[in-house]
Amino acid sequence: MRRMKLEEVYPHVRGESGKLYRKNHPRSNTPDRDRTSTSPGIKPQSPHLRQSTIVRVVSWITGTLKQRQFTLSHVLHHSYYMPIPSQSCFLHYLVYANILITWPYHPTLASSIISCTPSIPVDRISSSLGRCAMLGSSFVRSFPPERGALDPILCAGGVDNSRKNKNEVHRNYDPNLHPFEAPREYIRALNATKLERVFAKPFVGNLDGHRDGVSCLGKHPERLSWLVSGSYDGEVRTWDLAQCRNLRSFQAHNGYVRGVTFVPSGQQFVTVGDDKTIKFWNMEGPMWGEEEEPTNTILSKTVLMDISYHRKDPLFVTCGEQCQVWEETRNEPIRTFQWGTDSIHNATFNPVEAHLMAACASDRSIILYDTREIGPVRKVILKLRSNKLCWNPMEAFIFTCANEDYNLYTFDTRNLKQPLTIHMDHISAVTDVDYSPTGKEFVSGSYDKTIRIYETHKGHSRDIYYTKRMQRLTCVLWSLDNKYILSGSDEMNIRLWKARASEKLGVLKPREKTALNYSEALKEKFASHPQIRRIARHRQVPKMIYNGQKELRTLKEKKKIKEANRRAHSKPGSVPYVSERLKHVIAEEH
Amino acid sequence: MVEHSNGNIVVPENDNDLMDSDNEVNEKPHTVLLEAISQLGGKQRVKPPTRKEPSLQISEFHLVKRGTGFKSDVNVNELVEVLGQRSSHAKIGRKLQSIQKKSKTLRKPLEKNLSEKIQRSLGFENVKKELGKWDAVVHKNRSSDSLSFPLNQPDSRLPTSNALIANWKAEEVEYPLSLEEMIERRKEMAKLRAVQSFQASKAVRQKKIKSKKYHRLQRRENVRKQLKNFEQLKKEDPEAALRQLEQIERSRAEERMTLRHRSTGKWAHSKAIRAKYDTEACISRQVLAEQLAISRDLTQKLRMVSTSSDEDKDDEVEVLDTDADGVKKSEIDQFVSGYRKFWEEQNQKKALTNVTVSSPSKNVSQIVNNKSEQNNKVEKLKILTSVVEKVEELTEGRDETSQEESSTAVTSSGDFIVTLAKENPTKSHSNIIGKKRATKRDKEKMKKSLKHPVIDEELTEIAGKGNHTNISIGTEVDEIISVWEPKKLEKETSVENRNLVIDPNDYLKIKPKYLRSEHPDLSTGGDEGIDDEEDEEEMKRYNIVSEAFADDNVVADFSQEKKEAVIKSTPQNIDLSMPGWGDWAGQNLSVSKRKKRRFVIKVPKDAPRRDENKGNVIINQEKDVKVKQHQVSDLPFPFESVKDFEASMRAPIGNNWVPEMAHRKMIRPEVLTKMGTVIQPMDNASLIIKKKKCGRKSFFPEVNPHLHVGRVENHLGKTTRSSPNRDSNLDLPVLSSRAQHDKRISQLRHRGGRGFLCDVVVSLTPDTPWPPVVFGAQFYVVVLPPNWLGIGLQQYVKGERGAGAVELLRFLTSAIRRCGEQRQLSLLSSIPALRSGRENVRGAGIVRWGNFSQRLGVSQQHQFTWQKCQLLRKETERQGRERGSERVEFLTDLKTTRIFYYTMESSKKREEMLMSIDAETSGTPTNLVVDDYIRGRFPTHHIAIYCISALKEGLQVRHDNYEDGGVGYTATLDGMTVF
Repeated sequence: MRRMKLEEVYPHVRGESGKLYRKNHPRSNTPDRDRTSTSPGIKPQSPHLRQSTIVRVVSWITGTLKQRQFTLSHVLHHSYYMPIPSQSCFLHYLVYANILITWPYHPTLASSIISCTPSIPVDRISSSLGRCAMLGSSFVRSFPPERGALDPILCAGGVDNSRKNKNEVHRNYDPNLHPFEAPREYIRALNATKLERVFAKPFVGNLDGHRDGVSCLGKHPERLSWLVSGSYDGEVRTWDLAQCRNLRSFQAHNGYVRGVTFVPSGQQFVTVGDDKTIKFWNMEGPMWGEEEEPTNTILSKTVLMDISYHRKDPLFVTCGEQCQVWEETRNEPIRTFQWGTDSIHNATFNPVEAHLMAACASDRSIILYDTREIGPVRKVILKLRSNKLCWNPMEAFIFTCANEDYNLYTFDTRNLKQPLTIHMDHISAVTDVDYSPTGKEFVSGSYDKTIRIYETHKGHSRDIYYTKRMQRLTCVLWSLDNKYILSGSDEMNIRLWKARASEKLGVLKPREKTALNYSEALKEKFASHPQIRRIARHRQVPKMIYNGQKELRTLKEKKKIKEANRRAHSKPGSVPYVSERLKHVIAEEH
Repeated sequence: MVEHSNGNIVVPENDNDLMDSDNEVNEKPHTVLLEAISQLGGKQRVKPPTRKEPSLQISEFHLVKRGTGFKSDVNVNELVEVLGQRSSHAKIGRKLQSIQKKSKTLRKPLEKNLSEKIQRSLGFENVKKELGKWDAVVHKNRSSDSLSFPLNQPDSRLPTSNALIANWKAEEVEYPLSLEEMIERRKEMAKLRAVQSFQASKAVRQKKIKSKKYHRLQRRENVRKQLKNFEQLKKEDPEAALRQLEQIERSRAEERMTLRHRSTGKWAHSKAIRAKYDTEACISRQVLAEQLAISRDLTQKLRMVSTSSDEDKDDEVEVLDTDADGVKKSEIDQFVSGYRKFWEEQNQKKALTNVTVSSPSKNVSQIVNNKSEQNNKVEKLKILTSVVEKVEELTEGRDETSQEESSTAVTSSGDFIVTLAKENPTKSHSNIIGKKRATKRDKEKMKKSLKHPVIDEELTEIAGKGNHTNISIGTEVDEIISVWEPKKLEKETSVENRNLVIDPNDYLKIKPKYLRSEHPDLSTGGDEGIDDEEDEEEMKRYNIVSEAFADDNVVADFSQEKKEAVIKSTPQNIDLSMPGWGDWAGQNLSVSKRKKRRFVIKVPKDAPRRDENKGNVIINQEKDVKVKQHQVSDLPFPFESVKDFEASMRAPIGNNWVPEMAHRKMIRPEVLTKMGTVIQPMDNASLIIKKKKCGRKSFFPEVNPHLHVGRVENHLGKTTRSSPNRDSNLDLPVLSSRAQHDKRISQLRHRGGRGFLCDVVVSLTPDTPWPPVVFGAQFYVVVLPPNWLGIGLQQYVKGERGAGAVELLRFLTSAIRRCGEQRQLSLLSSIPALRSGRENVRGAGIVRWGNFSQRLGVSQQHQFTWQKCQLLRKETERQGRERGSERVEFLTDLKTTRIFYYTMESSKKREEMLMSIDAETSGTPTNLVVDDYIRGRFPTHHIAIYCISALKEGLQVRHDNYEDGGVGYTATLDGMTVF
């Protein structure tokens, strides 16, 4: 078993060893009687001597919220090694460790504690079973033990282990010595927040080359730097993200490339186009002199709007007039699902519960499929149609859809009656949504020419990205390392953004990292303070967005007022309150 | 029945068809007729699809009801007819007929959309259920403070004990010490060496010192130390003490021979001479005295201290202690008076014996020597001498005192001195003397002679008190004083008294507030006379105060100040008008209304000041205006009280205020990612897979060693011939066979318990070759006292032995033996009953290991019937009672199985609930709840919870540190948290 360093177990020990405490060393002010009654502290006596004295270390006062890791196990861990050498020694130990003494009540010990600690009321050293006596931090301060007394217990060789590292800064953590800790932290938090805004430069790079608007993007399941994009003119391009370079480009379809996805192995990708074909392409380009050709082409009888690949099995699903499940090796769909006559423009497999699939239909509905047996199982109709749907990769039952009504809705699959969260803030139809691989956030692209980043459980966006020349967003992606966001837009460019606007890219030195983490923690801690909140929330947005938001706000206000008026002027109860969540779902069908 | 090409089935509907086909009809006109009929009906005949591409999809529009008139149609009846009229075939015909009679039309299938609806809703239920299994994982991830992506799921299964053992074996073969031990040892060695070298260098340094004084002091110190050691030795090892005594004896003889420390030497002479002329005479005299003291010490005979003196000493200590601890004085007084009586009696006795000794003309020191020889008490002697010295000085200073008086003093001095050491009031005596003489030397001597530290500590404290109660304590001391100082002293003391003692009546009298209450006034006791005086005094005081502050008008000043403050704080109207512009200028001209309206910017009426109607208070409202905009106005979301929120703000997280480790922990970001690493979606691996629940019978492996053929080990490691006709075996239901047993074992192995409680917990999966479970026990809770660590459980786990319960027991017994420790170890095993009937409770029992040798007999029985259990229980209880230590609990409750443990702390009966395991009715323990309660109770003990088969798959025990500093263990079972 590893012996722990003194600091690890008793963090304030280091602080106590400062010169400040030498003044009121117990030797100098405790009465002689105490000294005579105890044996010399350095040498522990035989453990058998004090068998009857069971003094137990029970707990550990950490004081702060998150500080959880020292505690019992460490103390206890140590207590195995801890014979009770002599009372005074043990007492010191207790004092040092800021620890509770318990049961059984040991009169001598208790009285000696009382006699040397005027700050502790007697009743706190309780005699009853299981009750504990708490030695507060003030106690620790007033009676620093001698190091010699501690050594046999804690220090391995009796040498001053706590001072091994000469470069360490020794601090005294006594809160009374730091009256301004909270204000200082506040200032730091404020500065951190300001700096975050200063450094918020999310735009990383731009992939240009498409000759028409980018219609779809596909991310490689294993390689971070590979990207495939399709455009409205039927061209497909592959990109090397690390170098912002186009690797290949070829005409894949006549008409739009509707969807692109990778085969789980990552060796191939599949595109579907308006020409009703499904084409498989090798990730590796053709040899020199060879022509670009798909490895496999499947002709579909129906229009294809989207494609999604099963994460584990060699299955994929296409949608259009109907949902079709295909097997890689067959040219006919193995299953066809149809519920209603409306066309489906988006289908997505659940990455976790892999046989589940959800689709957005043009009758404003979202349909849930179980691809193994029954097919469609549930349908939920919203007020306007959803453009895109994305499953949370870490929470199997959560999905978010990007809706035409400027909002995004996060649903729990098991309860489709109402969305869990409505994510507002866009001022035009939301065209695409993609989850971060951590499942904590998602990115959405909208027709209002902005990208917004939302936290999964929050109704408003945490950040907004835009550039002057970026037009309507068609597709967005969150890279699989949680660091970048990709967006394709109408004006033929693919843009690369940082997922966290002010994050420093590249390798960080440990101290730098710690400092950044600290400032993050501070920002979080003081987030509710008005000034900090104001600065953190502030975004300079284009006039169009600003005005649009204002307009929407007034609209909403107006509706609210109208409803209130109606309620006021009609029979009580006839105009019921309807929660915002319930307003957006029209029906749930089965 | 005919199957058509499109797969539809047409069931012949009635007999008419058959009858029709029976008749021979003209074909052509018939078809024409049919066509005509069909056209008449207006129904359009749907043509069957022409394209014959294989398709899975069947369109409802392609269903064609075939008319009856087609040529190609073949009827069953026709086929039967073909067979002819043979008797063998008639059977078939009849059969057909009967079928046709009996057959009913199938019920119309559910409408397609309806059936689909049902299917869909069923499907959705399934989906819901399946998704539900992710709840726990998601919840865990959501609630965790910090997640590090990619979420790597290390193999959380514990390695099998076989593997563990194999590993350890290999290690042990190679290294006799573990790495930690080696490091430890190395450190120790290093320390030892360091200390050694330090000592050596110190010795060299000391040797070099030339100062005689230093060496002298050193020597003296050594002597003192030796004395101390001797005292200790006397207690511990009398023989060695005797030997040492001899040596001391020898040194005494030497001293007496050489007379080295007497005043006869050259050095002593010179010192004496110098003392005469030296200004600091006391020093040289002191040195001489010390020399003499040494010689006295050395030449003294050492005798064993008598018991009576011991008692005395003890008493002394007691009295002093209580005094020091600040017990009430009245108690002490009581005690002292009682004690005084006792001593008076003693003195009377002694006075008789000491008559001969008291000769007035003799030197005091000689008397003392005599006395000391009589008393044979070294310690007492020292005190004696010192006091006698003082007495000597006293006598020197006082010419009036007669010889007789001094002699009486001396006679009683022995006893008096004892009282001096014993009772505090005597110090008043010394104090008075000190005051009178007040020489430095005296005090020094006092201190030197009075070895007991408490005395000089208490000196000053008692002085006041002593003066106060001084006379009431009429001891010999007082007598002596009175003899020495006739009246004069008394007068003096009384004067001193006046100066020192604070008269309670002289305190500033604070007039008590008289509240209107029904209680009788006890404080004044109805004495009105005093009140008048008080009033007068008060009036006087009041007058003085009012005189002193006559010129100050405080109230008016304050109100003025407040007014000014109010005016200052209220913003003034801003007048932008320019005098003379658009109007006449000059003095005493009124400003036009228009101008006022246009150019004076009025300050909006503000809210009333907070101190407006508050009287003599000025509240500064502008103080924190700037701070306000930084302050939180609403309680932020997760907090429920302002107090909590403020506390959270106050708790710093920076490393300036918090230890580095804590700081690091607190600033750990919520989401940690690795650069350039793909984070894959969640995988099934992170799911706790719930396997099919075994039936209750098959969950526990039923092990009956007697069912095995051949030799079986009992849990003490002996192999005995298995005897199937032992009584214990008779009423056991035979549940298991060899094969069954094996299967279960393997099941258990697959289950791979994931229990992990605290440091020492070892989960033993039973894949040892021999029955891993003795008595079908599931849990072994072993509580070891702290000093067991060396041979503790780690070693056991490391050990070469297999990890079965049998082995555990065996190990423990051997450990006890190895320890040579008479301490009692309690070990306990519980057996959840396997069957519901009480009579069939099998193998329930507790093996309790007390004093090993005593208990051996009991523990050898390892198969118990219920009756036997009862017997055993009674037996153990009886024994326990005899030894006054423990109680035995039997654990046969079906629903809740509790495991108790027994600590055998010396003669203290203590029993703690260690763990409660809720067992389902099936006897399957599902929830394992271990909280900090246990750890709290036994922080210094090793607690090992051996879960052999109770930890089901999916049961995870998590170690939690709560925010308030507490610790708990949470058991989760299949994602459901069981607290």
